[in-house]
Parts: sequence; structure tokens; C-alpha cells
Amino acid sequence: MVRFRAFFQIGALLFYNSNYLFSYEFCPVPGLNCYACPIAGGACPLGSLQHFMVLRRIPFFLLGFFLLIGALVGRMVCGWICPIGWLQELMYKVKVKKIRVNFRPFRYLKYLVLLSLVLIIPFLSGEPWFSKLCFVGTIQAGIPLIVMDQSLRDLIGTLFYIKLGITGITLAAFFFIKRPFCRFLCPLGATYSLFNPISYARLEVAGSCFKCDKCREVCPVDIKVYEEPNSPECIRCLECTSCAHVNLRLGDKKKEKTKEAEQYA
Amino acid sequence: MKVYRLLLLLGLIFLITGIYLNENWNIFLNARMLCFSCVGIE
Repeated sequence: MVRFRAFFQIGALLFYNSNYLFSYEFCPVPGLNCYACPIAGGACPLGSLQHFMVLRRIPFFLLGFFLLIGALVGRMVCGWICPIGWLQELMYKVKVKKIRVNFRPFRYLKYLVLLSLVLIIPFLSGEPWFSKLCFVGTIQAGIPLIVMDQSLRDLIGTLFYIKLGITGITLAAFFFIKRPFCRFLCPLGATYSLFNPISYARLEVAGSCFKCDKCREVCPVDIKVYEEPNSPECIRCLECTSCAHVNLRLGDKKKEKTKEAEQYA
Repeated sequence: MKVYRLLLLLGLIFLITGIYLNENWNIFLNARMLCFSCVGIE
């Protein structure tokens, strides 16, 4: 199943951007996808959340949406059905010198972004500030719309150039660092990450694990799975389950592989 | 009761409340109107 993860990611990208076939913009999509894009089929969960903050209303539907996904699979959305996650993985495959960033406080930046740019600042200022700075909007909507529409080109101001700068820096980081946006900045990932330790689907490491660090090598977010299998950073891509000592656990049931791992020990 | 079951129940209640309040049709569609923020045009 894990080897087909890219197909899930491509499928999600096509499904989120299916306005030419069908539209469901009354409903948010689970991954990050800009709904300013002319072909976006569903609503961006972060854009919608900011809209509720601007209106100063409780987002019941979104809260329910996040709770259901988070309680079932935690941050699995990031690993399997987020087009931006897929983009980061693709760009990291380019052969350039890689940088390993393990400075722990960086992890907390995404919670700061969630609290400030997505919740508090839109609530106080009445402007969706995360969307105004979001690089996904620049890639999916800003650049294509401005290339296609002359009237929009005349409206370009400082904000657009700031967005272009943020986009350039973010995209450049994708070549050198493993999933930097997911790990350090994504407020959607921050929301789902809160559910990782308590969700229905969790990871489990067998006691016989000898900490060879193979799981860390294959991990797209560079975590030591044997130290914290249900870390808020884990995107549940299940790449680490290629090791016999790491298993997916659904609720109270264990997969058969745990026994296999114990046999190896 | 497992925590995830409690959260699932709570999520379902919120989801139904959102649908009951017509959030999908009244708000999500309007949200798209604000999408010039994403494009980067003031």
C-alpha cells in the first residue's frame, strides 16, 4: 500500500482541482489546496477558517471536519492526500546537497502561524492574513491568473511581490530540507498534529527495535520513530513500516507484523 | 470510553450543527469571493 502513496497524492491533487468536471466548493478539502485557483473543486480549509474568523463566527462544520479526520487518522492527510506535501517530496528528490534541520523550537512555529495568521489576526483585523501571504495561493492562483488576465496584471501591488518572494524562498527550501513547510510552517498540519497521539490510527514500535535509524532515513519529516512513534510531527506516511519493528495500530488491534518482528528479535 | 471515540462523536455533532446552520451554502461559497487575498491583489 505504501508504495502506491504517490498515486493517492496525485489522485488528491486531481480531485481537489476538478472544477472542470464537478464542483463541491461548499465543502472544504482535507489537504492544502488554494480555492482561488480557477480549477479548484473544493474549499481551502484554512481560507474557510479565516473567513469564519473575519466574520467572528464559530466554524462548526470545520471544527467537526477537523475533529473527525484528526480522531480517525491524525496527520495522515499530510502524508497521503496533500498536494503540497507531494510537491515537497518531489522537489527533495532533486540531487543537491541536503541540509538536516533538527532545531526543535522550529517545530513550534507552525502553531504560532496557526494562532496568529489564521485565527487571531484575521479575527482582530478582518483580513485573512495567512491567505494574503500563502505561497500556495501564489503558485495555484496568483501566477496563473496574472499571466492569463491582463486586467488583473494592472492591479499588482507590493503584496504580490512580497508573496512572490515568500514563494521563491519556500520553494528553494524544498530542494534542501525534508518537507520544511509541513514541519515548520503549515497551520493545517499543526491542527491535525494535535490529534496524532490519540487518534484511532497510530504507530507502534516493537520492544525489540535496535535503533538502527533506518526509519529516520526514510522518514519524510526526519523523526526518530523509535523515540516518539506518535510524535505530532509524524505525517503517518507509513514509510517507516518498511522496517519490521514499526507497525500501524488501528484502535486496539495490532497488525500481524508485530509478531513477525518479535520473531526476528 | 476511548478519547478518539469521544472526539469522533463531538466531530459528528459539530458537523451536523454546521450543516443545520447552513454554513456550507452561506459561508463557504462566500469565502471564495474573498479569494483575491490568495492571488495577492489588494
